[in-house]
Amino acid sequence: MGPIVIPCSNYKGKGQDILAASSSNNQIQILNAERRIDLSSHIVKVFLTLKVENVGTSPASEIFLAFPPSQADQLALVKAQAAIGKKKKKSYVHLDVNPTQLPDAPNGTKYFSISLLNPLSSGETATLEVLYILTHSLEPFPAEISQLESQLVYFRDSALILSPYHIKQQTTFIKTPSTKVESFTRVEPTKFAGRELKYGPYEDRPPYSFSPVIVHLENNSPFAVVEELLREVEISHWGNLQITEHYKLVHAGARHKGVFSRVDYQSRASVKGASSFKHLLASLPPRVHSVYYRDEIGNISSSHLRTDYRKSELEIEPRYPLFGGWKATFVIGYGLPLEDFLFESPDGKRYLNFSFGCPLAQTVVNKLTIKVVLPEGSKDPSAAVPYPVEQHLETKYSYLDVVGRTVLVLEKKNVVPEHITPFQVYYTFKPIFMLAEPLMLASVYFLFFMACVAYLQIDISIRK
Amino acid sequence: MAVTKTEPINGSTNKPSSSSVSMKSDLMSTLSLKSLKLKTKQQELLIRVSILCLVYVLAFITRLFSVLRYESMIHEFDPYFNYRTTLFLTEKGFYEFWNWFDSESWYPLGRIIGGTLYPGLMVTAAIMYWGLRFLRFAVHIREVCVLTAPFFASNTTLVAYFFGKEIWDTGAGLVAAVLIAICPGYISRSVAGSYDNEGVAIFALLLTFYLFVKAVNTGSLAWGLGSALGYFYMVSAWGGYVFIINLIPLYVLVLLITGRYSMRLYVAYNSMYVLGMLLAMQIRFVGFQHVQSGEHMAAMGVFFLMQGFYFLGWVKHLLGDKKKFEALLRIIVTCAVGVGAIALGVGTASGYISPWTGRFYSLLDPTYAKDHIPIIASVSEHQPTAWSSFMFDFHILLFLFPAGLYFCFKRLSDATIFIVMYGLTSMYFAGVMVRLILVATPAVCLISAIAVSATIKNLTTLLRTKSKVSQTGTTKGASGGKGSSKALPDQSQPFQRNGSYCIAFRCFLPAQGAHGNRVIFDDYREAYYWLRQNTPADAKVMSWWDYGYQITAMGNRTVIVDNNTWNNTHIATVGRAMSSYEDEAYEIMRSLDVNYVLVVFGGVTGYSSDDIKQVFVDGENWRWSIPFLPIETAKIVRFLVEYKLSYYRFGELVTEYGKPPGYDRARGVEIGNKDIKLEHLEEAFTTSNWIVRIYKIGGVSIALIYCLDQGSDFRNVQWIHVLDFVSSDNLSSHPTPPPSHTNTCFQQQKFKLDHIQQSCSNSTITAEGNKYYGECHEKSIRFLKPANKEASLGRETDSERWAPPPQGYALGCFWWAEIAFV
Repeated sequence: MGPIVIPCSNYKGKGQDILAASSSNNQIQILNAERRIDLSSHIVKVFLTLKVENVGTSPASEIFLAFPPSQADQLALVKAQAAIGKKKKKSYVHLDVNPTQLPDAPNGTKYFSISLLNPLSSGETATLEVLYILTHSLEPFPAEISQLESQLVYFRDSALILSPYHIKQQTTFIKTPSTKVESFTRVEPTKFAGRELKYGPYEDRPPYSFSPVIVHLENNSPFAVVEELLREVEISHWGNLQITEHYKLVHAGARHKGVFSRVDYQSRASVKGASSFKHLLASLPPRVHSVYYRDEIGNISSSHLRTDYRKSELEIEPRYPLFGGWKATFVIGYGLPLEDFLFESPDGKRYLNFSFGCPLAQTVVNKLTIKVVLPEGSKDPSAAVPYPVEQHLETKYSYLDVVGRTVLVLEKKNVVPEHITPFQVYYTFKPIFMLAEPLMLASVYFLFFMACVAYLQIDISIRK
Repeated sequence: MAVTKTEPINGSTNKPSSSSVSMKSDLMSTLSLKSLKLKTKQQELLIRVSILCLVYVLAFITRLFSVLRYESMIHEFDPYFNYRTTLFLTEKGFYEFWNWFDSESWYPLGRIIGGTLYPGLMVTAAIMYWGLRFLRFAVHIREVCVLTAPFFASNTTLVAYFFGKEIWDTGAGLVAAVLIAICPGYISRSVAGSYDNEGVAIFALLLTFYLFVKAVNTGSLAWGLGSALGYFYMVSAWGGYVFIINLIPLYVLVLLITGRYSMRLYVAYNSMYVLGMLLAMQIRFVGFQHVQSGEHMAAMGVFFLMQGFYFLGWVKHLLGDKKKFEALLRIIVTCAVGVGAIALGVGTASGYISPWTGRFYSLLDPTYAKDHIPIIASVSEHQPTAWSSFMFDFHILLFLFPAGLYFCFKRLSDATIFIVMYGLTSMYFAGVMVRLILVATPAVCLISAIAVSATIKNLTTLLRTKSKVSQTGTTKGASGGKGSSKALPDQSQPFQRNGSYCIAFRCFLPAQGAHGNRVIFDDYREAYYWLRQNTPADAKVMSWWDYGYQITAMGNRTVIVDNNTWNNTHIATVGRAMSSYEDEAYEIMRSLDVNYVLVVFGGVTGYSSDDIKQVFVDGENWRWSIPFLPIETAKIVRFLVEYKLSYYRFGELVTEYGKPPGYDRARGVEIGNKDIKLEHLEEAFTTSNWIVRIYKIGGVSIALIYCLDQGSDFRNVQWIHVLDFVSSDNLSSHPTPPPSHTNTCFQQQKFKLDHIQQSCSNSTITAEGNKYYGECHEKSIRFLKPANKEASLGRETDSERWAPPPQGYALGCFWWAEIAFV
C-alpha cells in the first residue's frame, strides 16, 4: 500500500489518517460497482450494485458504505440486500444497515455498515444491492423563476463512488426526467444519450477517490415537501380508528417570482406553469369512511375519493396551484374499521398494526409526528417501529375523559414514501373501561330525571 | 271544522307524549306509591313540557339547514369579525380582550376592539365553550360559534312561551313558541353559521320584555331586577337596546295617560330603569350614553315623571282637599316642565346631551335618510321594506296579526297593552327598514299566537256546548297543541326561505354546472387562504371595505378598512384610490403602506355585485361618482384603477361561447379596453373563477442617484449613476439626504424592483417617478447609462388618452358611512 492520492480538493485529508483508514479496510475490494441515480422526481433514488471480494486473510462480516457529509444529511433511507443463487434462481435477502463511525474518517465522511448474513471468507465474492434515497439534494438554479419558466436544478455528486475500498471497475448512470440538460461536468469517459448520462467505466480507483460533478437539468416534477406532518391515530374500542392528519405543505422548488397570471395558467397549465403542481394523491387503506379534507377556514371542496377492496385513493387539490415557495396547510381525516388494524397478541396484549409514513405519493416529510391515542384506561404502551424514532408519552383529554388518554408520540425526520411499512403499538386494556363513559352519561340522565321527579313530587314551600 | 281537520296531526304530535305518560306513571307508582293514574293537571303539564321540548328541538333543527347543505362554517361578513374576536377571547382571556387594540384592521390607525364592540355575543360563546371544555366535550370554538344562533333561537321559544303565558294563557304561549321556532323572519337571522349579534339579541330583547311585563303584573322587585339583568345582557349584545329603552318609557307613559298607574308599575319601572342604566354603563361601548345621549332621554324623563306622579299622589293624600291640590298641581307641573325644558336646553346647548343621531332620525322619519344621509338610504339592508318581504317573512302571521290585536283590545290589561305597543311600534320600524323586521317578528308571533289560541278556544267551547258531549282532557295545554298543529303547514315555506338566505351568503357561491351538478365557486376562500399562506405576515391588504372582516379573519392579514366603518375619511381615501388613475392611486397606496390590493370581479362568472358595481354603478346612485358606461362612451373609466384591476388581461379570455373575448358576463357587454397595462401594480394571484384578484404593489426602491444635467424632466437627464438601492420595505428607515447637500444631488427616484436587479448588472434602468431636487454634478463613471432612451414608454403614449378628469370626480367620498344599526 502506498500513499493515496485523493483527486478531490474537498478531500485534502491528512495522509496519515487516510492511510490508517484504508489499512483497516484493505482486505475488501470491490470488483465491480454500478450506480444508477434516478433524478426523475425530487426524491433522488440511488441503486448501487456492488460485487465485493475478500482479498484479505480473515473473514469479513461487514461492508462499509461511505457518504460525503453533505450527502449524509440528505440521506433519508439506506437499504441493502444480498443476491443469493445463480441467475435463474436468484433471490434477495434483506440485510441490516446501521450508521457507524470509523475512527479515521477523512473529512467527516459518514459510514453505514452492512452486516452480511454469512461472513465473507477469504477469496469469496458477494453481490450486494444497495438502495439509498436522498432528499433536498436538487438545488434549484436559478433559485427564483417566473411562471413561464421551467425549473432547472443542480445535482451534485461524484463521478467516482466514494468508498473506503479499492474499486476495480465502476460506472454511474444518471437518469434525467427529460432530455433537457443544460450542462454537466465531464469526467471522461462521459456520455449523454436520451435521458441517460453515463459516467465511466472507470478502472482501478483507490479508496476515497472523489471527482465532483455537477449536472444542471430540467426537473418539473412536483417538489412537494411536507414540512410538518402530524398524524393522530385515535383508537376507539367501539369499533373505529380515527385518523387525523395535519399537513404543512410547501413547494420546495425554485421560488416563484413576479406575477401569477391566471390567463396563462388557464390556457396551458402544463407549459405556462410547468413547475407548479395542483393535484396530490393520497393512498389510504381500504374500507375508509367519513373522509374529510379541510383547512383552518373550512372545507376544501376539490377532492375525489376512489375506493375499491384493495385500497382507497384520495385525490386532493389544494385551494390554489402551488408554485415555488407557496405553502398550503390542510387537514385530512378519515375513519377506519378497527378490526382491520387492531389485533390481540398471544400474551394477551392488544396491538395496533398501522402504516408508518405519509400517505401522499411522491412527497418528502421533513418532520413526521405520529400520535397514537390509546383508549382511556389502557396501560403499558410500547411501540415496535422498524426505524429509529424518538418516542415519548403524552396525555390527551377527549370527549368525556376523566383521567385522560395515553398518547404515544413517535417522531422521525426526513421521511420518504419508502418508509411506508407497518409498525405496531402494544398496550393492555380492560374491556370494562369501555363502559365507563356510557355509564357516566346514563347516570347523569338518571340523576336529571330523578331531580325532575323529586321537584314535581316534593313540596318545598314554607307555608302550609 | 278546523278542529276536526287538525285532529290526526294533533294525535300524532301527542303520540310520543302518551307513551311517555305510561312510562312516567310506572316510574311514579314505584317511587311515590300515590296513585297509578296521573291527575289531569299532571297530564296537562306533561303534554305542555313535551310540546315545549319538541318545539325546542324543532327550532334548533330548522336552523341547521346551512350546516347540512354546506358545512359547519361561519357565513357572511360581520360574523367573521365576531368569530375572530371570540377566538381571541378564548385564547387570550377576558382581560386581554377588553384591552385589545387591533393593529390588523384600519391600518395605520388600528381599532380599539375592546371599547368599540358589544361583547355580549363573544362572551356568551366563550362561556359556552369553556363550559363544554370543562365537561370534557372536545369541541372547537368554531362549532360553538356556528351553533350559537340556533341555540339561542331555541331558548327564545321558551321565553316566547312564558311571555305568551304571561300576556294571555298557556295556549297562546305554546303557539307563540311554535311560531317563533318557524317564523322565516327570525330564521333568516339565526341560521347556523350566522354568528351575529342579532342571534343572541332577540333572545335578550324578548327576555327583557317578558321579565318587565312580569314585573308590572306582579309588582315584584325580583322580576324588576330580572328585567334589569336582561336589559344589561341586551345592551351588551346589540345596539338595538335603544328600542327597549324607548319602548318601555313609552309604554309607561301610555299607562299613566290611560290612568293605569299603579304601585306595581312604579316598582317595576324604577327598579328596571335605575339598575338597568347602572349596569349598562359598565359596557364600554355604551358608557355614559344613558345620561348623555338624546336617544336615552325619554327614559330619564319618564323616570322623573313617575317620581312626580308618586309625589303628587302623596301630596294629594296629605292635603285631602281637592281645590288646594289642583292649585298646587298647576304650580308644580309648570315648574317641572319649565325646569325640565331648561335642563334639556342647557344640556343640548352645552353639548353635554348629544342630539339625536341621523340613524335615529331616519328610523322615525323614513324620508329623512333620503334627503340628509344618502348613504343610509343606499345600503340594501336599510331600504324601506317591500310588501313582498313582509309576506315572505311573516307569511300567514301577517293576517293573524290584526286578529290578535283585536283580541288584545278586547281583553285589555297592562300586559296586552304592552304587547300591542310593542307590535305596533316594531311594525312601523319594520316598515322603515328591512332589517328591523327581525325586531317585529317576536311581537307578530306573540300577537298571532293570541289570535290562534283565542279563536280555537272560542271554537272549542262553541262546539262543546253545541254537541253537549263532554270530552275528557280538553285543557288549555291540549288546545295549545291544536294550535301548534294548525301552524304546522307553515313550515314548508320557511325551508324555502331559509335556502334563499343561505345562497345569499357570500363566502362561496353555489351554482348549477353544465350537467346540472352543483358547482361551488369557492373563490373567496381560495384568495383569503392564498393571502394567509403566501404573503408576508405583516402585509397590508387594501380592498373594498366589505371584505375587510373576512380578510382579517380568514386571510389573517392587515387591512386598511373593514366593515366597521368607523372612519369615513379612511374609507373615502380607499374609495378615492380605487377610483383614481393609477398614478394617483399609487401615491395613495404608498402613503397607506399598502402591499396588496384585492378586487372582486364577477365578469367571468356573471356575479354582478362585484367591485365595479359598487364603485361605479352604485356610486352613480349616490351622486358622487362618474357614470359607468361600458364600451366607448366613458373613456375615463377605463383608466381608473378599479376598472384596470378588474379587467386586466380579461380581454384575452373567452368567457362565453359565441361571444368575443373579453365579454363581461355580469354586465353583458364586451369590454372597451382590452389592452390594459399596469404600471405600478402586478398581478399576484387570481382565483380559479376570477372572482377575486389580488395585485401586488410593484416592489419600489429608492435609488440614490448621481445625475448629470439639470432639468425639469427626468428624461432630459443625460447620464445617471446609481449609487445605492434601498428596498421599499425599509423605505422610512433610510436616511434621506438633505436637499441642500452641496456638490451632490441625491435624488429620490422610484424604480420597479425588476429593473433594479437588472441595473445592478449594468443593463437597464427605467425612470418613472419624477421627483428630485438639488444640484447635479458629474461625479462617477460607474454604471453609466443614458437615461433618456430607457424612459418608460407607457407614459408618453398614454398621455393624450389621459384626459383630465371631469370636475368633481372622486370628491365626496362620504357616501360610505355605514349605518350599521348595530
